[in-house]
Amino acid sequence: MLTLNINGKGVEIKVDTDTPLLWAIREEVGLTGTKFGCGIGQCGACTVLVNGKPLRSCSVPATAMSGTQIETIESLAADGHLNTIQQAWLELDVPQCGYCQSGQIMVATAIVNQALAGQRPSPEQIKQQMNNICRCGTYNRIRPAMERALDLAYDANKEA
Amino acid sequence: MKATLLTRRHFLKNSAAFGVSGLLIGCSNINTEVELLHSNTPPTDEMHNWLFIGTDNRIIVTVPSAEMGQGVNTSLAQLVADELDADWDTLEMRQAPLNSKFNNSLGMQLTGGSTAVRDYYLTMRKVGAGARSIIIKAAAAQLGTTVANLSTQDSHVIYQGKAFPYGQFASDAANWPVPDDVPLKSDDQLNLIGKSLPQIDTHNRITGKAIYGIDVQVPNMLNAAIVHAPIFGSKVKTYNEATALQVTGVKRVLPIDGALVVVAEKYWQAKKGAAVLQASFSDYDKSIAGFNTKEVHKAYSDALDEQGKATPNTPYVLDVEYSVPWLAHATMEPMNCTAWVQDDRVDLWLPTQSQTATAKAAADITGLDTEQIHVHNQLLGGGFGRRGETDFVTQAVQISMMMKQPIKLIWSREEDMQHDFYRPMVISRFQVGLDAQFKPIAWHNQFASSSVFERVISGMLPSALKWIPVTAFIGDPIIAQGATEIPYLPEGIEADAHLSLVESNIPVGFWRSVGHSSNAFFTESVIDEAAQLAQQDSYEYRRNLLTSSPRERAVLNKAAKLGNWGKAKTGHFQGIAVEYGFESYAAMVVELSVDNNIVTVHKVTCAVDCGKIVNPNGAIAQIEGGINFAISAAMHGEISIEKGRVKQSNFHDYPIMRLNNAPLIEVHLMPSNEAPTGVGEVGVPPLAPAMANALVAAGQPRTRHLPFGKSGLRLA
Repeated sequence: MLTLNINGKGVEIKVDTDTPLLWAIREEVGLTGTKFGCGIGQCGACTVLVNGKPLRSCSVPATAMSGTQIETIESLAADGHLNTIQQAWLELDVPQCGYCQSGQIMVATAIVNQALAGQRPSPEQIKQQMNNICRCGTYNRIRPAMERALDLAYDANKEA
Repeated sequence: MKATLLTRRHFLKNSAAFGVSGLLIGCSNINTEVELLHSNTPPTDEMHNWLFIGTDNRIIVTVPSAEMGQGVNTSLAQLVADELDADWDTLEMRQAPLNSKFNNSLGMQLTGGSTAVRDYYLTMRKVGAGARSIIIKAAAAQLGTTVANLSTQDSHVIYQGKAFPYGQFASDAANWPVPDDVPLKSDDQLNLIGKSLPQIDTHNRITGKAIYGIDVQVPNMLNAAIVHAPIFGSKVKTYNEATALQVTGVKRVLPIDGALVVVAEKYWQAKKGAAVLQASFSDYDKSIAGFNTKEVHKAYSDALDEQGKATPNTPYVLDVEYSVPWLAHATMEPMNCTAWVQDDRVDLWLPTQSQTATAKAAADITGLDTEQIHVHNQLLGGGFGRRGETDFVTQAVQISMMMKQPIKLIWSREEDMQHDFYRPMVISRFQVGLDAQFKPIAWHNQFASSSVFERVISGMLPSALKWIPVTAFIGDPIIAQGATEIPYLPEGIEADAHLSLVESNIPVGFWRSVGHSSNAFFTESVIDEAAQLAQQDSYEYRRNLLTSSPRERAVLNKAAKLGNWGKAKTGHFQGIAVEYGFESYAAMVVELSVDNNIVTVHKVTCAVDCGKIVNPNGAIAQIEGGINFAISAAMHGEISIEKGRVKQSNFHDYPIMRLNNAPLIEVHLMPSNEAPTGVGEVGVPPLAPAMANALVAAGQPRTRHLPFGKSGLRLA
């Protein structure tokens, strides 16, 4: 038995030692918001946060994750309210097919959290960090949505 | 900060959700008379129900097209909602079940060819208008007044300042005859059509709640992974079943046509089982071209040599050869299908562009009638033409039949990339006769490829007629799309284009913008070469020739103006192209720079004339996406064949553009009162030639063979 801490809850699952975190999340935990795209860590559709850092869950065994805090797309609006990134994504109507967007939003969440703890990243830095594939080509919406998300996050921080 | 609450809107999953009686609006086929149906029992999925207004005030619109990111759940519902005066925020949508009453102009339930809004525009409006007209009649009778004293707003009938919900009149309304000719709103009465309403699926897509085909769960379901014979047309010879069965959870190893399937409790277990099969496969069929790219290329060249070249008797002749490679679709969601075959019915949960083709594939294998096939279409994680195919459906049905259980088949990315129906490779030769001023006055074009149409048409013909060599008579209109429409020729001069079809074992199919994806690159590059010979500006040369093509000329002028044609920053270079396809017109200006073989695309400006626009923001998103899709293809897209198999296998060797390479994009939609035309594909074709022309402006040698990466250029 393996205990994974996913979205703040401990979940006991039984998997082979080499089962990727992605398939443990999708098939054992039953959270399907995290997507399978390439299986080799290229596209980023499977991105989750592990201890706050983005990780491509298709390329790491679930068994290596015990003792970590894992966050999936389902955690972001768990209280019924969109987080600032989702809010920005909604305002700019970013998704087309939407299949890659869980991964995009998880990377964006990590960038925003990091920005709140330190410096606001430049558009150039965002370009390098937002490295997930979107086959529909929604990049022209992701770019402004990312800036909007940062604005919203800084505003929310001030209010809090 | 204002927070947004989640999911106000419902998406119907099954017929049970209807639950109550009410008014059902049916409509048989396209643009025909709206036909009213009424049922006192809840309507079922199988009824050709386009709109349901329940006595509980729920209003449910059936969306006939598949939602694959192009926004039809929004745009098509907008059409109904506007005419119905429905409350947009509480409107519900469901995906159409399999029923020929939802067929489009292609005679199928098939989302493709940029047809959704063009085909369903009037139908959806009539459905909404028809329902409103009888709701208001029933309301007048119930309220003891006349229709003239009533108005409608937000799913309510307004009478003497009081609002009565539509549901109150739904049952009565069903007894009124549908008017013969329902008047539609005039343009100034429209509230929703023409508005940039946000995509209704966005909430679910950003919270992980959206259910795609790959996410479907059916009780008692097993999972399957597949390994295709890597060489097209080859067969499975040997495999090690015992090793696969040793993997935890693996239940069975099944040989099916040209592939091995491993069925397990979980997908990952099946995938592991597939990895240890140690399968061997038969060799390729040497009688058919397709052992390697070069060989197919040579077969095409030979066919063109046989055609010979034209020798126009003109002052100058531009004699050039172009080519484009095979391309994979690479939808983000790999191919998948969940099937449950029972004695008297088949249920299919999948992301498909065609309910009709899906049902036919299942019926063919099971021997059941199509009425017994139940297609539950899910959200598509991209389509681009790939999901109009049914290879993965056939497989899933076969597996479920053998397992006597529901199964979900998921292809790996590698299988998806190596067993696609590729955008055809094409070689195209031109001999363009130019007059003394270098204007084109004769257009001769010979091109060679392998047929897409043959497979499609043979699938449609009854088996007794399958022997008819259809393509021998009419060629391949799919590959020829856009090859003969050359707006630059003087009136009375026709483009002379001949297609040689060569048999090959590389599967080819429909790839976003289809024939236009290659022919726009060819013809718009050739015109640019003519402009170069004339030593004229690329834009001016085109504009001067487009004297009898006002809509092409208008988008060209607009793109040039908005794209600051001729005024690029120092070190930046521009290229321009225009294309007519899917009944729409699009012109693009690409601005780029090249530094040490690294290409930076700074900006793409696009003007589109697609007639009346239902959802401008949605249309702009489609053009933006089409441009980025086309940049990936033009720059790096290439599927090649080595030893009978596809060389590329995943995103590391079939790269897709990422955020860091995405240019600024400015899209202008031309105001128009013409009928709505295609949008989803029109952003693709002009990009490659406009980019090719910009690269020439930047001092690069003319690229006649895509992708640009072949000549050492790459994106940063």
